[in-house]
Amino acid sequence: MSNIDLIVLFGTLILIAIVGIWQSWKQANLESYFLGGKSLKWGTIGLSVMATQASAITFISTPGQAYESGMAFVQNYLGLPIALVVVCVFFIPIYYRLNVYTAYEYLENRFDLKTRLFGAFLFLVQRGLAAGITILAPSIIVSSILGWDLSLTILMVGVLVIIYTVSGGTKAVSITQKYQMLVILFGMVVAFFVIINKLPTRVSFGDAVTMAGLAGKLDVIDFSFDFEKRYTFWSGILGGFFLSLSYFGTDQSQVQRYISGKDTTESRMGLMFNAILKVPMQFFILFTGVMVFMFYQFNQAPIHFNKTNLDFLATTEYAEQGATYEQWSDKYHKARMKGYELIDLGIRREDTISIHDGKAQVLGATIQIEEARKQMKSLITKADPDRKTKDSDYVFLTFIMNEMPVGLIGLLIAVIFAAAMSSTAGELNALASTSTIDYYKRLIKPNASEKHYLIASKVQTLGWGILAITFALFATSAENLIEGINILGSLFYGTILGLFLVGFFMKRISGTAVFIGALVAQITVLGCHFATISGYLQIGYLWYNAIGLLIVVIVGWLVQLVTGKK
Amino acid sequence: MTMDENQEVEFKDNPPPGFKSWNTIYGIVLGNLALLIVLFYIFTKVFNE
Repeated sequence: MSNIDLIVLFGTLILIAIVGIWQSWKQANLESYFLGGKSLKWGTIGLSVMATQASAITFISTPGQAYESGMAFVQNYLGLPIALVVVCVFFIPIYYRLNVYTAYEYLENRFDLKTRLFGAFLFLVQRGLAAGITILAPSIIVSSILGWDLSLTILMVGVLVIIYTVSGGTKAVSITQKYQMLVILFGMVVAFFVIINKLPTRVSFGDAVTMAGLAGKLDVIDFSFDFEKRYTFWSGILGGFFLSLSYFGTDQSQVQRYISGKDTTESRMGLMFNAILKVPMQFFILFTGVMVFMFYQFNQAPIHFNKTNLDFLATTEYAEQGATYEQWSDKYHKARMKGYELIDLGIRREDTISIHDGKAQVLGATIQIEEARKQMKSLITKADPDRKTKDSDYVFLTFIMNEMPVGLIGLLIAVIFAAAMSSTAGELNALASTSTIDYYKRLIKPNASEKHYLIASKVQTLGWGILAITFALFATSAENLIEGINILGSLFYGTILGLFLVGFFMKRISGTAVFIGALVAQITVLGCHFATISGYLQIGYLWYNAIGLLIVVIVGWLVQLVTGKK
Repeated sequence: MTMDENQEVEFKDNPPPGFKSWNTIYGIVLGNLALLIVLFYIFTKVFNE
């Protein structure tokens, strides 16, 4: 990485952190620390909500996912706009009417203390684990590609986030997220145009899109009703709806962002901004991944994108065999290029036979290249069975490092770190508000001064930050990054959402009934997950949200029916 | 936070800027989603052939 890139990278990250601290320096009480004095405008809320959701994983994994499997992943987000409308209609008025700091305060207001504590506990477990992954996942990939020390990378991200989150609270988090999101959007748009510009001159943008379609990368919508398929329209619209409703309606890391608004109008506009932009944004990021795929149709792609694995293989007895696979891949890349030239010639001469032969040659060579990639992965596993061979998370960063001009590399690495920092900051802020308000203030020290609570909040923010960094430092790997976070969320979100929906819409159900329902739901969802990973069941993880929710509702209703009193 | 502190407060529920009611905004958001699904479907069909 050049000095210019390093200046762009660190300059961007440190400048944003300084601006965040500067604009939120004085915090007098809990309201200013956890709710930003309820002064934020919808633009800041909208970008802050978007930045909290879009972690570094979004920008590292998503293009790689499109490179490997196409664009079907966008269906996961189809339920999101509907969920945001529901949050605006039902959740926001309740949070404002109760003047809450955390979402879980509502549960005590509607049910009882144990239900509130259980809801807050599920959030703390789920988000506490996720905060570690949010720092770890991008650090593994970035440190591997840049050759940086993993522990130092984790510490760099973690410490910078802790400094401005502890000092400035919610306001610092939202302000930094706004600028980080602007850098992210700018960086991704620039990256897209550079990729298009790097396609061969004889291949127009339209040609590239047509060829990507022929390669099966542009299948966005799949209406088949298949529970075993991970991404279909139905799992996206139903499972994605429940996941998003739970995430935006009941996850404190999001609730805290929008209840910091000056009034309900600012909060709602911030969420509607996301409802309009989120799906196109995900489509755009996936489409960028498809264009990277097209770039590597005409340029030699590494046989395996995780260079650390290749370096490791070179030191083993399998090095020679690995080199043979690389030659195999090179040979068929050249054959594929000849196939494309034949198609090009056929198009210019209007010769259908040349076009047909060229297509057959491209197809045959592509099959061979894919086979070489598979064999290379098998060889790495053979050399070290514990080594992770999934390399799609490394595709986009490899492209950035090898193909982007100086300056832009620094900017795009800044995009990755900015995304990691923005989501981590939101998580730490939410974890601290939940542990302070729902446990410390409610159970341990109910009548202390504002100054005491402010100091306690800062100490807890620091504590959660140290916990996240420690988890990241001691965890050994994080494969399937974006899915890992979504799976973790889906394990708990159905139950939490069930508690809130019963509270909103089933007025006759009491605290004890819904509490038993929530316990049964949580145990069942965890059971389903362990049965799935053990191979006894096949349930896509998005369905956990619906299962958890339904069990809370049904068991809560049955217990209420049996006990017969409110 | 004790329940005593969690008493309900009055808050202003204003219409969105530039529109008469929030239902119009929700309609635009859901209409936009429906349009995106149709466009994605057409996109899939066109480039899958």
